[in-house]
Amino acid sequence: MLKDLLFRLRAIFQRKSIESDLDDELRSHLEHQIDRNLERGLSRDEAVRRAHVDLGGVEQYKEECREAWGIRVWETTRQDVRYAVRQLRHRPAFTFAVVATLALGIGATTALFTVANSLLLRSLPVPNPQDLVIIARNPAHPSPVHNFDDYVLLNEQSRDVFTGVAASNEGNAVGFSLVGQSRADVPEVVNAAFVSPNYFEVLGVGLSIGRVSLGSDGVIVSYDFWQRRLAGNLGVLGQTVRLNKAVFSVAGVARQGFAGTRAGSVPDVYVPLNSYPSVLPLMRNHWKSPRREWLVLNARLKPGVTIAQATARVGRSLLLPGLQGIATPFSAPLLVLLAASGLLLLLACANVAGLLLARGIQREREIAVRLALGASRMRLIRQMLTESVLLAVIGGVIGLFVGLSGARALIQLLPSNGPLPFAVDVSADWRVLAFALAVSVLTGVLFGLGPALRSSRRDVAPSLKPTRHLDLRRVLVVVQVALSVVLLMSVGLMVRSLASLDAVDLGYSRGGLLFVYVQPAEFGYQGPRARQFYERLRERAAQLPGVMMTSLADYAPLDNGNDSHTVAAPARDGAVAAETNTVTADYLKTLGIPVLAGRALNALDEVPGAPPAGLISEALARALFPGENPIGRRVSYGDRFDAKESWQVVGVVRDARYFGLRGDPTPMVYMPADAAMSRMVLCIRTAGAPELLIPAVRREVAELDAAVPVLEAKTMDERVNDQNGTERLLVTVFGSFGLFALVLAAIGLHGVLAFGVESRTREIGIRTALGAGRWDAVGRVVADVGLLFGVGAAVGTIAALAGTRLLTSFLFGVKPFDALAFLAALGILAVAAAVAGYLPARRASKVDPIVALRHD
Amino acid sequence: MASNRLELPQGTLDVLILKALALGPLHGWAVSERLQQISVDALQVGQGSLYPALHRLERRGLIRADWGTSANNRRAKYYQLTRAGEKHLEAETKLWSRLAAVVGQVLGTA
Repeated sequence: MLKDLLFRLRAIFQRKSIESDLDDELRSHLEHQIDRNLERGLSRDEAVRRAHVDLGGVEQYKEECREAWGIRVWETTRQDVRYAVRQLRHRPAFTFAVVATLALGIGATTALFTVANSLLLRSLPVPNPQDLVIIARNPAHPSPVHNFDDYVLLNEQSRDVFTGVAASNEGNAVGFSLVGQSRADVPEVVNAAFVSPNYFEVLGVGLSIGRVSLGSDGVIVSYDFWQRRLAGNLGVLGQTVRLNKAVFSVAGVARQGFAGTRAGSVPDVYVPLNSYPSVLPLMRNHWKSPRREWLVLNARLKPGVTIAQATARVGRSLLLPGLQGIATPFSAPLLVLLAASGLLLLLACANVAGLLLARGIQREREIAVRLALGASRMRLIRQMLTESVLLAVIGGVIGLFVGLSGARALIQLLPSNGPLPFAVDVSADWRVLAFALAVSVLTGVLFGLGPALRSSRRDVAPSLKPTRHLDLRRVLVVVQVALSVVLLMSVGLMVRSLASLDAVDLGYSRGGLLFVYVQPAEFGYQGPRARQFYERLRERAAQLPGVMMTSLADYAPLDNGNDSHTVAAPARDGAVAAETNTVTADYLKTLGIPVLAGRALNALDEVPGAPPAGLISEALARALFPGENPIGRRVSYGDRFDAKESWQVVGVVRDARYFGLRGDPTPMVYMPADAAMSRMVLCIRTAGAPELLIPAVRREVAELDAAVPVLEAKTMDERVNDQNGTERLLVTVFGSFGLFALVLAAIGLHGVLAFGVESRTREIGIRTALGAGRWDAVGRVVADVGLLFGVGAAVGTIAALAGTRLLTSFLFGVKPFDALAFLAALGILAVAAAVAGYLPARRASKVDPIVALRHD
Repeated sequence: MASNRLELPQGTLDVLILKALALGPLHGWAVSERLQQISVDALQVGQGSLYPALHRLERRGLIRADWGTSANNRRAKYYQLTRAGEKHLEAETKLWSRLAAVVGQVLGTA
């Protein structure tokens, strides 16, 4: 067996020498025979001739010898590939059309798979990832975040099952600057991960340079950050850096390719966990609070310990570290898009199969001749499949590149959360490569098999009956139309949803608003000095050209910042849950939230000792004082009314959306700001485009204090769009899929119609000659378009009815079967069909009977 | 003349080649000569069809090939039996004699 394989391999790899060996052997045979013939007294010419006759057809025997070497399969494949390459090079337009279609189809699928792979499938790039688990809080709350005490407790309790428990909190925006540079180094906002000292050990991630153990004043920078910000300088170890106000020295550079443990966030700097309060002084009193659940715990199982044993020991559920947390919100839309890209690929296959069939008709003569000459049908099918798989693989290779850049573009579309961008490594790994290869080969067989079987049929004669070929092509066109209907309907539904979301009454105006986040308190501004910094910044911003109004607030709408309390009124049982925003006087005017009754807050309310007053939103007013006038009434925080702690409702304002666009607006309380506020948002209303104001605001911040970075500056429009991130993603991707599908379906339709007219030229000519009007032929084309379109649309509608249900959870203000979206999809497709039918119809109307009858 | 010659039954060519080589190494042309001599021209063996058979036998490890020089001083590829080839020939010969005897008996009694 092994010997046989070696023989074959030798035959394949020493092919040249074995071939010449065979030639030598046959030549030697001839020479001996000629010698013998000469001995018998034949003339030289006759001796040579006889020798050749006796030996027989050399080529045939050579072929048999090759077969004897066991390299026939290899040999024919090589021939087929060479033949296919020749065929494709002879028809560059055809090849280009097919490869481009496939590249886009395979590219779309690969792009989605790459993103899904990066977010959902890929395990952490660490040694033995199967031994790594994430400790979840408890079965009832499978949340992966813990408070500080829980971390300490788990760390001590689990020594016998884990080699270590690493705590981390990634995705903190902090200002980074180098210390000791000649010029003042302007701080840059970077992604800081606070990690326990054993973080790198537990994960098993080594360092490029430096030492792995984190001292209390040493930080480890990521490889990319080292390259980008520190110029890849090997002398970086020991370099002093500043994170916000705290000073550290660089202890090491993490291994290339390590990007933390949380999907969507790529840390630049790994900071010792116990330095958390010195980097973020605002958190000094909160970080060890039992209410603050913020630490992700990665643990590594000791050798021989199973997950079940460890689970029993620690009494918590253990999650396998896929990329929890952030992955979940994206997994549903990604799966939907992956399915959509599958439809698109199917459509591309149908289109290419149509093209191949059309070409099969052109090659009919060639194939008929080869069949007549005795080529076996299997051999022809194999050859044609080789051709289609070759096309698919070329398309797949290009598609892989299309897919990888598509994946990068797709990641850009995923909404960022806060100041740090959504970041994930979408490079290709073996899974992506295997996926692209498998998809390519499958596609090649899928679109190649039908045409190959069809055009290699034994009955050579009916080359005269092209109608039967057309049947399959027509079916393929119907499939394309149907798939386009499904995709276009999905686009329609998503566009309608997005429109509904955009039309949601926010309660404030979207345009002309800018929100600026700076945190002077993290840079040494303590107590009232922080508030003073904000005030000075607000005054400067108010002077900028175009700025109409400025104010400060605890948080801005859609911030996810919150301050939840219950509010109670005297004559009412039970309290109402509400959020409180602490704001300066002009806040409501800046945002354009109207006061419906009573008065707005003013500067006097902020004065210490002023009678406590606040505003409530409509929803809260309705809940606390149904059918009554709330102005002047007293309320208090807490579950029961407490007169001593109570404050007066001085106004009612419109409901505004603070927490997402879906559902009812949250009941709100607005309280006057006080001098002790250390963390605020600067709100700016401008007459012009707010984003144009950002550089000027940055300059103003830098002039106040160059060491305080702007963490984030975003317009209200951007913030609302971030809320609609998933919908926007779906609209964009579905939209491009739909457009591609539309073009493909139109091309497919055009191909079939044009072929129909061409093959009936004679018939049309005869009809015209017999007195049929010009419109007779056109009418037939139109009827043809109508038939193909009608059947396709009907099939597509049925499929869409089933398919769009998958979208239900993403829809807003629209049903899965929406008449408008449906009609729009059909309308657009009808226009495309009309365009596709125009040229063939024109051609049919221009048929000259005389020319047509001379045809052929 | 051609009609007097016997067409070889499938598969027998291999055994005949092994037999021809049993007396010693031969090159391709010489094998065809030897076969004609032994069979006194009664068997019709296409010279060309010898080579696929030789290569098949070589692949099966029954014979071995080496380049050498022939009697009339020409380069030629010599084939010789391997141990496996010898055994195979022996087994095939026995099988053939038994088969021939049985078939002959059946045909004779009918």
